[in-house]
Amino acid sequence: MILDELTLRNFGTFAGKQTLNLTPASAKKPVIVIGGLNGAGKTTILEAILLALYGSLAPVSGRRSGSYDNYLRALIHHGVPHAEGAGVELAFTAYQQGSAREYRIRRSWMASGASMREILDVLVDGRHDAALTTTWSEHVETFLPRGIAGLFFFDGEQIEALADLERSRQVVHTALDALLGLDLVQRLTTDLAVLRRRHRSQQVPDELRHELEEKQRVATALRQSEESAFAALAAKRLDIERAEKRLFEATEAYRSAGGDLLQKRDGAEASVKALRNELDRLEEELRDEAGDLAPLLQVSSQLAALADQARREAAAARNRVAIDVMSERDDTILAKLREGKTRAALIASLESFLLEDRQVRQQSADEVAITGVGDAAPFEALTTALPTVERRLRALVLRRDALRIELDQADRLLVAMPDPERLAPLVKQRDEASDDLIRAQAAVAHADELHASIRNERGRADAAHDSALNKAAHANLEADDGRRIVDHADRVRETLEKLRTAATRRHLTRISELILEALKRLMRKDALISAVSIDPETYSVELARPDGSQIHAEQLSAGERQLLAVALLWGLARAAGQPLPVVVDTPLGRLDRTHREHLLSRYFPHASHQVLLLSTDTEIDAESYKQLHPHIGRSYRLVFDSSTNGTTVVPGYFWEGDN
Amino acid sequence: MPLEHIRLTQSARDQLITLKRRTGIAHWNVLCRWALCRSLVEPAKPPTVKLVLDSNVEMTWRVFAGNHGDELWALLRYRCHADGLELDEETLAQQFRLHLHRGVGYLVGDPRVTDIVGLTRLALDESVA
Repeated sequence: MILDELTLRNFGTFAGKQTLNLTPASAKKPVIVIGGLNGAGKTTILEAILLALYGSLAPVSGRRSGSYDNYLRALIHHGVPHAEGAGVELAFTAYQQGSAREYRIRRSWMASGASMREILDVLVDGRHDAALTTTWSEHVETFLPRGIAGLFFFDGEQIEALADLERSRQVVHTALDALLGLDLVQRLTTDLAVLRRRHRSQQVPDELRHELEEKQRVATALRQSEESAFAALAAKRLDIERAEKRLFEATEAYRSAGGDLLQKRDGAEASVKALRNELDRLEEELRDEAGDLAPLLQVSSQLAALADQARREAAAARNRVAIDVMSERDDTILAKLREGKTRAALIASLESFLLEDRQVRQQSADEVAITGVGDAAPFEALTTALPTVERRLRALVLRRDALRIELDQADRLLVAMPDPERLAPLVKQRDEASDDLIRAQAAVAHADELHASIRNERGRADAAHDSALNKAAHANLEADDGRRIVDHADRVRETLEKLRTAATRRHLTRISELILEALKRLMRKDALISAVSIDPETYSVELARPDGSQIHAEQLSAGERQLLAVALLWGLARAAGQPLPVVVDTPLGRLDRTHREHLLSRYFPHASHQVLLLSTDTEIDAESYKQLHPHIGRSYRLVFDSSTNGTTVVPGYFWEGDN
Repeated sequence: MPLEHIRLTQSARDQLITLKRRTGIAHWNVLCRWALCRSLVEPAKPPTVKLVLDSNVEMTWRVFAGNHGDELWALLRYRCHADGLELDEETLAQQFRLHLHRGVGYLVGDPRVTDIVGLTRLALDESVA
């Protein structure tokens, strides 16, 4: 990489547009010397190069304390309106994939209201490259990684700082990391740390756990109350059983005391009453009968005899009347017969028959009249009526007897029926037992309802608990994921650390050799140092004498230490293996003459294929310039005009312009 | 009618009151009819006793005999004849009184006659026998 041209516009102390051609005149003359008194703008040139390359990421720490905006604002040349702004343009040639390409970076900025507006424009081979422009901040790393920029672009102060071993360790560290690409590893480690921190905080949230505990507590409480409700229900059921038993016993006692019959008592009484009425009716009927023909039944046989007697008497009465008439008539009939020619025998027999008949009739007529009634009809009527009366009476008596038995039975039943008053306590007992049972049943129904509702509630609480558990499990899984990530991040970090150490150890040997070589070229006491070693852990640089004994940094003089620092830079730069220009600001700070000569003759001409030296007239003085002259390709001088309050670039070093 | 007025002794009256209570029959004449028939059934002659007819129970023959006065009188006559007595007015009246009072005594003394049915049974048993 070769810096070709640097153009400054209203940049810092530089007024207007200043252009420096930086292309080395030839390979033999790689040194470009830019001279300037203090405050003329030497350091500004170094800053301009870094700003052009890196923009807001430029490692120009020292002067920057505020924001990038303020930095840019401060860089605008004094007296120029902020709205007009300033700019820097850097052209360089770089070899990429075997061919040289010309890059031109234009960076300008101006005030836009309260903030600054920065415009970047990257041209490749004279053409604007939009893609490269937007990704420049990454792309620039392929030309000149920021980490090692400090090895190539530095100032005297840095050398002095490097001379301090404590600081050198830091620089070596960062430089090594950048050189070996270990800064990537470092950044990965840092990113992992961030990832780790982010995931470590990913624990199961407390509120979730509290919620879970709360749900569990509620579910447990509900389960307990469900159990107690169930126990209450069971107790109530037991009450029911007891009440049923008591009711059964009371009912039994009531029944055994005739309680059931009592309920039939009214019916029994009614039937007894009906039977009694019926009986009364029957008896009344009997009495009616008794008042009529019934008593004559007793004497029915006498009545029959009496009827015969009456008939006989009636016949006697008739015969009494008939006998006289008949005897007269018989005599007449016999007389007639005798007169006729009738046989005497026939007449005699007829006569005896008639006589006999009359005698019978006479006998009948002689019958005494006992009855006093001349007629048998009333008796005959009675004897025919009486059997009917008898049948009627028998039927009545039969019915009455049956009724009597029935009534007796009903009466016995009624008698067996207990006295309602005697049963009253039993009834009361039974009613109470029944009431108790009903109450117990109601209580059970109530308890059952309560139990059911609690069970439902418990079901809901369980479901809530389950869902909370699921949520917690989910959260746990996530937390596990987080933990796993943290775990792996830790392991990766360990691995990376090992990788870093191993890589460092591997490269340090070569770097140490390069540093030793550079040191040997720079040191005047060639024999003093025979070995340089860098501790891979602490990055502390250790020197060894030829006899193997260690040289402590404190044992070196300040100048020697500066040389060591330069050697470090040089060695590291060579270790970087990249053909990059070297820009050194105020290079010869506080070196003595001998050391200056070493740098002038051995370092600057060989440091790189392009070496920019930004020097005051006392560092590279006339003599030094002369000494360095064969290697100087170009030289410039920065002239500050206090009247215009601006610096201009003038070709030629301090004394050249005068000559 | 040979016997215009019928009177009873005091004891017969008391007995009839008992029978009234037992049978529930309210009328003297009905009970007296039963008593006469009851006595006529007995084969033995009624013993001749002196009856003091001093009670206030008194009824005419018509009240006593009801619709069957002739038949009852004939029965008495027939019985007296069977007993070998004269059938003159005096004897018949005397026999009537004796039979009536004996009958009342029989009815009161009969253990079957506790109620109207017992009384009815007398007639039925008699007719069966």
